[in-house]
Amino acid sequence: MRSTGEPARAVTLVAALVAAAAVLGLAEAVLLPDLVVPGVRLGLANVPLLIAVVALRARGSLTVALGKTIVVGLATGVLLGPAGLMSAAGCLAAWAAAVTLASARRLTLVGLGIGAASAHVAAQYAAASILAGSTAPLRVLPLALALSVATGSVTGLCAALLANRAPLRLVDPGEEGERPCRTFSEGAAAPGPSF
Amino acid sequence: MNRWDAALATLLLVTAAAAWPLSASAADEGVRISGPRGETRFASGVSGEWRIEGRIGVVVVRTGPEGARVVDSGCPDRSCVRTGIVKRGTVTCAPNGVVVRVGGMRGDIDAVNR
Repeated sequence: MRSTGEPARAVTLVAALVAAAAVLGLAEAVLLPDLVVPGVRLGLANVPLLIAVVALRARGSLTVALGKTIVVGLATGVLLGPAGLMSAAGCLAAWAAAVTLASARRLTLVGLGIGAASAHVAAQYAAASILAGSTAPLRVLPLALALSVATGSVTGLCAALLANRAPLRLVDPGEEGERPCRTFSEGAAAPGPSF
Repeated sequence: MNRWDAALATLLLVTAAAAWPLSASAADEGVRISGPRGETRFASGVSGEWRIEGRIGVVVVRTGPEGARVVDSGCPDRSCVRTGIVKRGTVTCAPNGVVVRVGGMRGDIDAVNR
């Protein structure tokens, strides 16, 4: 039986993760410099997204990804501009990579973080290349991709540490089933005791 | 991190290493500045300030013997400005559609015969 409090729990979790992702994304854009390569940052906003992928599955985490893109785009004034398009491309690619890798049930949150970060970087540089009408931005992609392994490891580790400590449960908003809520320890993609 | 995580990280690093020659095969000699309205080329080391009208604002590029840099841009992120001086490589302002390619600073070469 689905408990009556579950939709409210899902909405609350989505809202909290969107808020966390937006605040982290904005703070990082303002406070932290690029890492060696222009446009490559630590990607702290991916931490809530990774938690959403594990806790909310595909649909709920897509809401978090879109919500973060819209809120940050509105706050920075780039929502409908080229920079907003690059941001959206990166965020959606990160979401797609994390969801795909999570469905394989082999990787931990560190692996999901690495996959999400590399997809984010690749999509962002591809979008930049399309917008600039030149392949020039892709020339720094190898270095950016290598850096994304490190940044993805950091964000994945942060997500794992947070997920291990926060009183979160898996929520499947809108999906029917006998077991609407599960603990993190039941998912293969969830952080295990190896952390 | 389990072995699958490590495998993914290794795969990505190998991919990046394999693609590295593509990034190193940079450009010809000289400087190329391209924008939505066209492209201009000139020899490396030429000093000047160039104002390029981009999609959402003006991008100001300064060139000289030390290289090229974007000194001002109407883009919101301004990562192109933060890139600083480039002696060999590329500075891109994607929101404005402006690309600055610096193919080297060997000012002693006037022409290349092929």
